[in-house]
Amino acid sequence: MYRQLLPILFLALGLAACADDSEQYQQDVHVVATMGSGLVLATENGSSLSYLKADLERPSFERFFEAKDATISWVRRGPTGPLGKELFALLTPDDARDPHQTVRLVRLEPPSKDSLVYELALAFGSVLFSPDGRTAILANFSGDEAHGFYNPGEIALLDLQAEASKDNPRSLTLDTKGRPIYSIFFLDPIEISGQTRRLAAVSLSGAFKLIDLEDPTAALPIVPLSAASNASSVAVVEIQAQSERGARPAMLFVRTNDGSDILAVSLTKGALSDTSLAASINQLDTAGKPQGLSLLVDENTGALHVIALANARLAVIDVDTADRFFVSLGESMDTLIELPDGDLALLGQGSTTVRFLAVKDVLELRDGALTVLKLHQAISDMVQLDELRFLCASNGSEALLIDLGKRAATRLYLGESGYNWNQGEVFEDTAYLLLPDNALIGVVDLAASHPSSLMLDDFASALFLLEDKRIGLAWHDIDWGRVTMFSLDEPTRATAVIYDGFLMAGVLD
Amino acid sequence: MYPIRGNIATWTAVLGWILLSACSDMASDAEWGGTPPADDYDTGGGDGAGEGEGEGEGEGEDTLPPEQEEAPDYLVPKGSGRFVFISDTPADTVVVVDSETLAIEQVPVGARPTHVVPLGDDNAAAVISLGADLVTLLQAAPERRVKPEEIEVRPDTNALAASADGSRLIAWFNPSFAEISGAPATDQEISIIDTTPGDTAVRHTTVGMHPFAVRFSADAKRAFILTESGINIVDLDDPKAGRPALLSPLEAGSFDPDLTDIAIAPNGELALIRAEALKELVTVSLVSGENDVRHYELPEAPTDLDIAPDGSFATIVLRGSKRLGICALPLPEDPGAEPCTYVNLGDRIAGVASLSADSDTALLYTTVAKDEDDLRRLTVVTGLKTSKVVSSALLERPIRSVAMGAVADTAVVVHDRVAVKDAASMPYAYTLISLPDLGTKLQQLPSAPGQLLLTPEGDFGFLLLPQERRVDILDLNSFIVDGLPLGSTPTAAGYAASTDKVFVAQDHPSGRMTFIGVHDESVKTVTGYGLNDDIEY
Repeated sequence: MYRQLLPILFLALGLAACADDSEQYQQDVHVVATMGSGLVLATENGSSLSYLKADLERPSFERFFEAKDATISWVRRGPTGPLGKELFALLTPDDARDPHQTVRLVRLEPPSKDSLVYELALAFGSVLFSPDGRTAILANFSGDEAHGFYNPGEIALLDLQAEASKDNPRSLTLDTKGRPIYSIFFLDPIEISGQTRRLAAVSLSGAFKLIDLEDPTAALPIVPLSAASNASSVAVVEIQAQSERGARPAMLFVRTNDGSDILAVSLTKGALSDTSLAASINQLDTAGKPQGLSLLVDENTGALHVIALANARLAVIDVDTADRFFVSLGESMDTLIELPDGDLALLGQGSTTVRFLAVKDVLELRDGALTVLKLHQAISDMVQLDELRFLCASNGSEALLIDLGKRAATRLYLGESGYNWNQGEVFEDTAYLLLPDNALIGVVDLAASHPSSLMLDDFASALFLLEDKRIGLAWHDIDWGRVTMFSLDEPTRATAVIYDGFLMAGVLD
Repeated sequence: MYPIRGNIATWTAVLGWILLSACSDMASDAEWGGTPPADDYDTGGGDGAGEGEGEGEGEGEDTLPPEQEEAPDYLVPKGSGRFVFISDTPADTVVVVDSETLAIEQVPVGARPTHVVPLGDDNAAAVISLGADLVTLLQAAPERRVKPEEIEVRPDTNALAASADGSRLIAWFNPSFAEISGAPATDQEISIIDTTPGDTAVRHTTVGMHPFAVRFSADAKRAFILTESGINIVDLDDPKAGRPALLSPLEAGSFDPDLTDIAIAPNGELALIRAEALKELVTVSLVSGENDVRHYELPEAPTDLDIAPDGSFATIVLRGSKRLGICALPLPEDPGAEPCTYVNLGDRIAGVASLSADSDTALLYTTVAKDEDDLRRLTVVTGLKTSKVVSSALLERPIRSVAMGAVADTAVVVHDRVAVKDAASMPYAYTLISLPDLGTKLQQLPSAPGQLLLTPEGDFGFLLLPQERRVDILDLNSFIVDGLPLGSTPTAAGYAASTDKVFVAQDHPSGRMTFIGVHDESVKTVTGYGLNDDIEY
């Protein structure tokens, strides 16, 4: 009898011996980023990162990073510029009392195991990257989980092109006058008083503070957003920069989450130092809560105008004088998109039309500058496929494809009713729709308006398109790990490959 | 006191309207104002006079009502140097705007600040706070916070008058502002302030009944309080001076500010008075302090009295006999002598004169006449000290007011409202006139114009059009007019000398002001006085 029990005993001992290597199996695993030809996975409060390499013939799964005596607090994809294949992970020491353990920022390029480590003074909750990929700012945003006492104005400025050193990243304490930081907006390079400045706007409660990425100690203003009694809840939603033009100063145009003004903030050289700036505000009233804005220069006079979408109108406002007129849209819209040709497209939840504004003609023609694309149904459940294409659900058996680039709307007939999708991706001229309630991926040939189904073995919770490998990947929430991979050149079940059990790797070692 | 509500622009407009209604005789350098259309008057008769110059001929009974002259000053934002000062009564602050950088500071002052006056052109101003019986002196400087200095003044004072150099200030009760300040327990107490930086001082005294104007001598050593009792002469240099001497050129209590003109010579030595229905030119010496009054008989009661800016002569208009009197100063010692020589205007009826800054040209017109042609006629007399050449132009519409810039080669005439005759007509208009050739350009308007401001160099004018929400920019050389639409209704305008900018205050709940570069054509607007003041560094 004992001999029969021996294998079972050994199996039990083996299972009991497993600890760290079964981390993925025991804890929540989630995808933190697509990276190159695969996915980066992390576990909640874990200390390792793994890479699932997508390949229809030989997929693989490998742990590429392990933090020693530390926990990975968060992982963020690097900037989308030249460094677009990098990951940044914040490591917090397991024993905060140990003076030899510090908060670190790790820079990785999966699946490589090489890493670059930066020492930080504080466990920041967020990191943001400048669009040019040169700078990262770490900060604690309002809403981030943070522990202990810390200065809410403390940030770290990281030069991504320089070596790690005691000055890189550079710790700074912004004087936010006690206001928490909501977010950070990197501005396009802006010409001010003959100098090109790289600025960021730190959105605070009720204000924003400018910082110079090249000279963080420059005396730059904190600009208030509202004088109303609820000012502390007002935050920046959008900010656009305009360089100086001749005698006209450089300006920022700020849209907030409250009120009916666009703030036009003039920036000029300040008196405190060569790099200081002075600001003055012109509140441009849009007569409604602005949902988007665009800028227009009058070719005849050089005057700058703001075009702001506010409810069922566009307010066109002369920045110099605040003089304005309105262009009626006929119905309420909440989305303003700048088209590649400079025109604007306007649409929104519930709208039955898409309107196009010929921006260069609006000062002369006003309402006459609008053209209308009538839709056969009101827009609802709109999913953005790419920059200019949207898919809207209808009654479940029908969808509406809005192509702003072609200024056209196409009805798509999808077969049975009752389908709804919560994620859409586009690769070349094919849209892929994730239907979480159905074990299938909707595939729509946008050129031919032809839908088809890619059946799955199981419900999927996320969909990824790996353009480098021309592979689509559906993620299934299964403890031992399962993905369905398919070719983007031939998105059918026939080409699909199921990669299963990768999270079990090492369990039985 | 009355509970007061409203924003900055509302206060400015209300106080401005009140001052307009008072028809006071305060002339400022470069501002002329617009008023609501003139009331209809019953017009009387008037005989014509012969051609050519004449002296001492008293012809024509004038039975027409008094002329309507524009009151050129306003309770408006004031410029001093490069700064603009705006009273924000509800917020108990003065908003100080740097016209160069558009930096804004809200300076707390006493409760209910109202009247702001510039102190010279040195970035300084003073404001009176009705709710606190305080005057606050404000000295602004670029990139520095304003340091206010408070001085207590007599209660019931509701207005300020400043000497041209800003060194002296008088707080007094101006009846034009009574609707805002309320009825005074007494209107005869004044406060005299020496604004010398670091050595400010104040003393209080009383003056005659119902003061209605304050003037200063050019050297700022004396002030003249014009009251219904007479003229008080205030010694500004003597801090221990007692009650100011009172001179009564007319019977005490007979001054009616609406029917009396008092002109004070720039050197402060002489006051000239005319009164409705009084066929006299009355003078009183302001030097001796004694009641040295002289009455010079005139052929008829003049309808207007002015002293030339250079102080060398005065002019009177004899509407009935269609003559302009030129009275060299000082007047003859003997009151029985003829005080003036007369320029015959021919058939041209005029009741009001406007003199150029160089004292060489007079523009004459009337706002009350039976004949519409008379109301439309602008008469020009050039060479006032020499050749005295008379010419005239019959304009398209009746004249409401006339303004002449610092350079006497252009005038702007604002017209009364007329009925619209056809599709090409608009009810309102103004005319630009070149002098002395009288070339004209008519500019029509769909609604009533507001304030007209002429720049000190005389090359541009700025006319506010509140209902159109724009300001017309008048090039006084080419007569080209460009309209500048604004974001809000313009309420008042002024000029910031240091930066050569015109500022236009507008009606906006947060405060809005547009700065227009007179010669560089730049336009910048700042909105949100409170928000701008909250910018931190």
